[in-house]
This record gives sequence, C-alpha cells and structure tokens, in this order.
Amino acid sequence: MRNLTVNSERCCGCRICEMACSMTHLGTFNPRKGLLRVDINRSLFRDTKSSEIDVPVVCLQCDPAPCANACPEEAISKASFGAWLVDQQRCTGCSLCVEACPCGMIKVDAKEGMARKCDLCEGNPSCVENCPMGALTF
Amino acid sequence: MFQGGYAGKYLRIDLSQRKVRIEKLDEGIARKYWGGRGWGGYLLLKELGGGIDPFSSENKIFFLTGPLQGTLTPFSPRFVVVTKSPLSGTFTRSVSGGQWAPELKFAGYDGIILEGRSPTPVYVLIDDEKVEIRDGTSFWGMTTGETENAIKEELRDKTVKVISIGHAGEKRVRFANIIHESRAAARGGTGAVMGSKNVKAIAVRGTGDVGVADLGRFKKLLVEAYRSIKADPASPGRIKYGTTGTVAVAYELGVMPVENFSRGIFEGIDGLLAETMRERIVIHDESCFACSLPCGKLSLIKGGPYAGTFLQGPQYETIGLLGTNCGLSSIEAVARANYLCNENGMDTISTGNVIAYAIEAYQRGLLTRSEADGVEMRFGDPEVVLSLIDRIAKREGLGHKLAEGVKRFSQELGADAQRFSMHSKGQEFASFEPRSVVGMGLLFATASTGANHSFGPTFREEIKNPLIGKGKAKVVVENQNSYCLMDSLVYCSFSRYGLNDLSRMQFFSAVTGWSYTPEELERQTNRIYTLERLFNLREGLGKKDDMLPFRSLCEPMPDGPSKGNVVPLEEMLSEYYALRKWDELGRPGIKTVEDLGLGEFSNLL
Repeated sequence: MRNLTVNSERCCGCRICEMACSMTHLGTFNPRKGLLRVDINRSLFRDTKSSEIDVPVVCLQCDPAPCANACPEEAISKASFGAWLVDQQRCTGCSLCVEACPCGMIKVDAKEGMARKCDLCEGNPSCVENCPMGALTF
Repeated sequence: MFQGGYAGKYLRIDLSQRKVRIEKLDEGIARKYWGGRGWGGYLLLKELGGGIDPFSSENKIFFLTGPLQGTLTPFSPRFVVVTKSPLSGTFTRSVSGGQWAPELKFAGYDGIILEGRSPTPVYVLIDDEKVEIRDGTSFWGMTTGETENAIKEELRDKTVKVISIGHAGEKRVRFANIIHESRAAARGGTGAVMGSKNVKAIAVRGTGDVGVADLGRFKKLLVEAYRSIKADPASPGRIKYGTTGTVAVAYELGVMPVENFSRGIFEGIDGLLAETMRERIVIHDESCFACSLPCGKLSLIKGGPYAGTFLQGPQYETIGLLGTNCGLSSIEAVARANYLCNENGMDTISTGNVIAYAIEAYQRGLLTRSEADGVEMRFGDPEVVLSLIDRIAKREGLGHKLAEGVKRFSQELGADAQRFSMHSKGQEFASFEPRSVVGMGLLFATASTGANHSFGPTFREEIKNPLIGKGKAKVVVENQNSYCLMDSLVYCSFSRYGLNDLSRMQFFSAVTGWSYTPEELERQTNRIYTLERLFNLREGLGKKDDMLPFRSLCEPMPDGPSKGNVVPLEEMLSEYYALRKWDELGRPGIKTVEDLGLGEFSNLL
C-alpha cells in the first residue's frame, strides 16, 4: 500500500509541508493545523547526526490503525488509496482517537469539534508535491 | 479593511509604565509604506524627537513584519528591527530570518513597538492575545543560546520562538545585535538599544491563521515560483555552500578585505573557501521558515582546540571580516570567532573591523602593549581575535574602547589614526574592498545606516567593470530602491534566486489584493529611501557624512587585480544626488518631498 515515506537526512526543516497541508485542506496558513509536523532539534545537541536534526513526523496510516480501533462511532475507515479517513457525519469529536495515536497525528479541531487527520490528499499529497528537498516521498 | 496578509494590528509596549496596548494598523500607512523597513522609517521619523540619545528612554525600537510573513510566499520569513542607531546616530534597520517573524503573525500582530525603559531586566512574552512583561533577572548575564533554551524551559515549550541579546547588548556595545536561533539581526547596534531598555528577549507563540486575498492566484504563483527557484542555475550552489560561494569570486577580483582593508592578496585564502568549509565542518543544510533554498550551514568543529563548537556556519561576510580582514586562514578559527560573536550577541562585521583596526594601530605604534592588555597584537593569530571578542562583549580592557566602534576609537587616537578607520557614518565596512569594486564604495557612502552591503549591493552588476565610477550611481540607486521593496514587504535578498521585482509584487498582490503600477512602485521605493534621508538630515547629517575614509579615497590599492585604484567618490556622488533629485549637498528639495507624498515632513527642510 502506498504511503508517505520520510528521509530525514534530506529535511532542511523549512516546514513548507506543514504550511502546504494547511493551505490545501483549510485554504489558510497555519503550520499548527498541518496534519504532519517537522521536529526541529537544531540548537540543543552537539553530537546530533544530520538525520536527527530536522525530522518530519507523518501519519503512518497504520494497519490495524489505533485511531480507527479507538473510535466508538466507527467513523474512521480505510480508503482505496491507502489513507484512513474520518467520516465527518459520524465523528462526534470525542477525542479518543487523539489519545490512541502514538504519533500525535490526529487532531480534534476545537472550533469544528471534529477529528482531522492526513488523508494523503486523496492520492496526491500536497506536502510531497511542495517539499523542496525530496525528504518526503509517496 | 485588510483582505489578507496583514494582521491589521500591532503591540505598543511601554516599558516604563509597564503598559501593553494593541493598536490598529492604519490601512493608508500600510499602502504607503507596506511594512518592515518602510513602516519603521515612518514610525521613527514620526515618533522620535530630533537629536535624542539612542540609549535614552526616548529612543524606541520597532520589531516589524510585513504583509507576507506567515504565508507560503517564498523567501519571506523575515522581521526588520528599526531604531536610531547608537553606532551611527542614523536611522538603522537590521533584518533576520528564522522562525520568529511568521510566529508573530500567527499570534496576530504585524509588529511590536518597545518604548521607555524598564527599571529592571525583563523579557516580553507574547502568547496569542496574552502579552506579558515578565521578570528577566535570571536570564541577565546569559549568552543568547542559553537564554533561548532557558526561556523555552521556563515556558515548557520548545516550539516557542525567541529573539534575545547577549552580554554585548547588556553592556551596550555599540554594535551589539539580536540573535534568533543562531541567525542575527546584525547591524547598527539594535541589540544595544534593546539592552538599554533592559529587555533581554522577546518570546512568541502564535496559534492563529494568516489568510491571503486570492488563494487561487497564490497557489498558481507558488507552483511557478518553486519551479523557477529550482531551475535557477545558481540554486544548487547556494544550497551546497550558502553565501560562502562568494568568497572565491570576490577574492579573485581583489574584493575580500585583507588586514584592515590594507591590501588585496591573502596567502591563506584556500583555508577559507566554500569547499574547505563544506568538507571540514558543515553537517546539515537548514532553512528559515517556509524557505525552499536552505542556505543555512549547520556546522560542527570536529577536532583541534575548538572541537565541539556547534553553530550555524560562518557566512561570506563573517569569513571576510573575521577571516581575511583579521588575517585568519583557518575556517575552524573563523567559525569559533563567529560562535563567540553570536553567543555574546555582537555583529561579526563590526567586530572583525574593530579588531583589525586595533591590530594595525598597534603595529603603527599608536597603541602600546599595555593599552592592548599585554597582548602582542598581530594579524593571523586566532587567540588575539578570540580573546578580544570576549573582552569587547564584556567591555573589559581594550575591549571597552573597541566596544565604541571604530570611528569613536580612532578619534581617540588622533587625526592620523582616522585615515585607516574603515567606516562610513560610523558604521564599519562590510566585506567588500571598495577600491576593487567602486560602486560598493558609493553604496557604503550613501546607505542611510552607514556602510552596509545589504542596502543594495552592486557587486554582481559591477563584475565586468568594477573599477570604473561612471554610470555606477544609476545601479546603486536602482539596487537601493529594490532593497527598499524587499525590506518593506519583507523579502530576503536571496529572493533573487527565482524571483524578481515583478514576481515579488505578484505575490504581494495575491496576498493583499492591492496592486501598484510600475510608476507607483518607483515612487513608493523612492519615498522610503528619501524618508530615511529626512531622518538623517534632521540629525544633522549631510553630504559631509556621505563619506569614505582616506584609505579608500587617497591610498592606491597596493597589490592584487585592482592595484593602483582608488574610489572616485566625488564624481559618483554628484551623479547619485542628481538621480535621487536631491540638491548638490544631498538634500531633497520641497518639490521632491511633496512629489513623493512626504508633505507632512516638509517642515524638516
């Protein structure tokens, strides 16, 4: 099954992926609302390897998926292109999925009261398309 | 009503009264000055009284973004600091990239005005709508890196974005800077002004959105821009070497400053070339926020006396001033000197100048050994440079005098000593020997801040005829104006990789919904530049200060590709004033001022 793969050695920590995700899904710019993130560890460690400095963290589309298993409404199901999707009709915003995800890759939007997670842009991920370094591939 | 880009409001923080006020950004002002430098120049002229002491509580310091910060516009993660410079007494602006500027926009502000003075050390915390002036006593005395980490720990959030000053800012070293994640808002002593207000740091956490006026158009522009950045033949070299690729090009033309700008040949140049640095110390390529051209070279010194030193590697300017200009030929020594400057919060350009100047003064017998704290001052000795950096930052011994900058220090040594005091308007030269690239000399002489390369460098345009003065004024004016545009919107100057003024303005239009004709654009940038001139004129500066030192004007270059050349400043200057529509004494007339829409300031003429 196709999924996002990360090459953190190539990542330069620009966070364009977070911004592109927000732009594509919400039409606005807010890196914290991106459905992936880049951990930046630049100033703290002296013996850090290049691959540990800027590290993209993405939804692994686990199978079985802890978020889907945790959902009491069975609102999270797998699509043909490989992503687990949240059914916005069924989601009640209970946040059990947020607790279940080991990577912090599913969020409940406080305003909408609904869970959001990476949907792989239905097979054409905007983060991959905009990554300047080839650190993210699909 | 703002349609996109701008937050539409900014913070005014009165440190004396401990009051925080949110003010609305006036749309007319935003259309007229955009943001960043243009907005800052306007605020400075409008809000400061004439002739005030830069270290008094009457000075103000502005931390400003523009409409683009917090969007995906390429090359836009920058903030501009504007204040009255304690080094030159002029308008000054310093700029830094990193993550801080967009964070301020996500918090909902276009800028911050700091005024007054806190009686005790503080830091400012901006946490979306919550803004606090917090106790900073425990951070006072820390280096910049320690301060960033300590504030992140206090707030228990490593994603908070911090700008801070080091010892140099606290001690009011006149060229102290502001550091953010190993990047610097470097020149003009903005860090010393922050220190004089007892503000150690400004920490920001922003969780809100930034919107744009026309998202469809923005997305199209972004696809095109990413394509042209990738296609630019110079981009791969920029990613591999950052700005250090310029070292070899500049050296070949005799442009690297050598031993206090005294000559053009440096035997140890190989040790400072881009390839040497990449091979020996660079471990990772890093970007500012949302930038697709990672010019940052994270570096680690792996062996020798400075092993374990970890920094964002030296850039072209630093290699020039702390390297060739101080006679250092090892990239590790330059990197260590750079690291100490960053941790102390001190501009590497001015620092390299004052140290090289002191060495030459010592060799000429103008400075005794005991005045030099018992140190045998010579070019090429890393320990001379490294120990002086610490003494300058802490204002100890000779360092206390050098902390005043090269102009003040040379005045103390007498008239002859000023002949090789490499500054204009009190600000030290950047890494361009003006006798080898004379348009850069005109730029140094006319930059509103005093000598400054990032005010419209003409080096690239001059490569074919670097020694000829004729026609250079036009290039200098064009580039100065282009930098007014970049500094006010706010773009990084590296946006020349894949963008130009047309595409810069297309992004601006998509973000704000506003557009400008080419004529309006020219008027806009001329207005910004002339406004800074009005500020300087009010401070008593004029043609006499559009000057270069004796060495640049009267001592022919002794060796190298430009051997025998001097800077023909006078002829270039007349051409320059005419193009700016200023009179022969460099003053804009009332008609020029009114034509540029600066009528409200015509009383200053």
